Amino acid sequence: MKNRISINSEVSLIEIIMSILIFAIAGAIMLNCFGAAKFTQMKANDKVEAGNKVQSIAEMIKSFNTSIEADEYLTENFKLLKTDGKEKIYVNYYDKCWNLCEKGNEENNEYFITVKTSDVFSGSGQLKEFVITSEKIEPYPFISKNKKNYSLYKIETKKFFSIAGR
Amino acid sequence: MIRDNNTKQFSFHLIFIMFLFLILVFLSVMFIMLGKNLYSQINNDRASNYEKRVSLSYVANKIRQNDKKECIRIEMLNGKNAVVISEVYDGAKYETWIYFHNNAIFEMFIDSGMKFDLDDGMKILDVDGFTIEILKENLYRFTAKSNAESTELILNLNSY
Repeated sequence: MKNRISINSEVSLIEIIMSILIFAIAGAIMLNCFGAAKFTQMKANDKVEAGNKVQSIAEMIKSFNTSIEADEYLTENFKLLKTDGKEKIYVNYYDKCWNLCEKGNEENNEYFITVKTSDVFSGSGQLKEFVITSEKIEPYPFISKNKKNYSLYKIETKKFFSIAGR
Repeated sequence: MIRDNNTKQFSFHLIFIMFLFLILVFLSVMFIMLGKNLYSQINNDRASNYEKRVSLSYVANKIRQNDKKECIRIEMLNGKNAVVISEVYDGAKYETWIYFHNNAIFEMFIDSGMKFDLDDGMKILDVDGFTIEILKENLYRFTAKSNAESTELILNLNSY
């Protein structure tokens, strides 16, 4: 009688432990899928927001009549990161809700937008090239393999500023 | 005595097994709840993302398509700014009004200068808010709001 109860209990115990082990493995896979789904959606949201921000900057630059106005806008609204001959790189940092981070208060930075301007030629006017890129500082967990900045959106555009103004 | 030991061992094993089974059930329920919450959150995010993206890109495309001299203007309609696109077909002038009304973006295509009821327009998309600001003569800012989140797009008119 003793043996019979003991054997039955042990079998049940092993079965339950095996079930928990299988469940733990399946759970780990499921958690990974949940994480991937969540961050894929987050990435989709970020791409829309980044796209709108980058397009808005490009539209703003294109609305200026002279290159001086464009330079003034970039100097006033962005932080000058680098100047290399005819090339200038401006940057702005944003928090996780895509609010602009104040200059000097950049510990909550989650994203950044860089505007690279370069003079293509100057003659009867000035042709400028703008490369506007939006990137995420930290890669997305579960879905981003690389550890570098993750590029969300990029626009390359040119604007000819004539001497006459438009 | 032997029977007592057997009963105790049996009880202990039974309680232990039941406890493990309870953990299994609890974890299963937790996983299901987690999945359900995550799914609804993703679904809400997706809907919000869709509303913001489609509303802004719809208006942006409409404006870019008709970016011709004196074809696009912003006018007040029921206390809110609306986009008015003027078009000429067979010599007759028409207007397309894009406006925010009743938590949705509406579009109305009518004869130029004709008055209309706001409900007469064709509903394009439900959004929680949609505002149009004039930044400069040739520069407009459109803001779409959905689920307390808003996103904006600035558009430049090449013709003005």
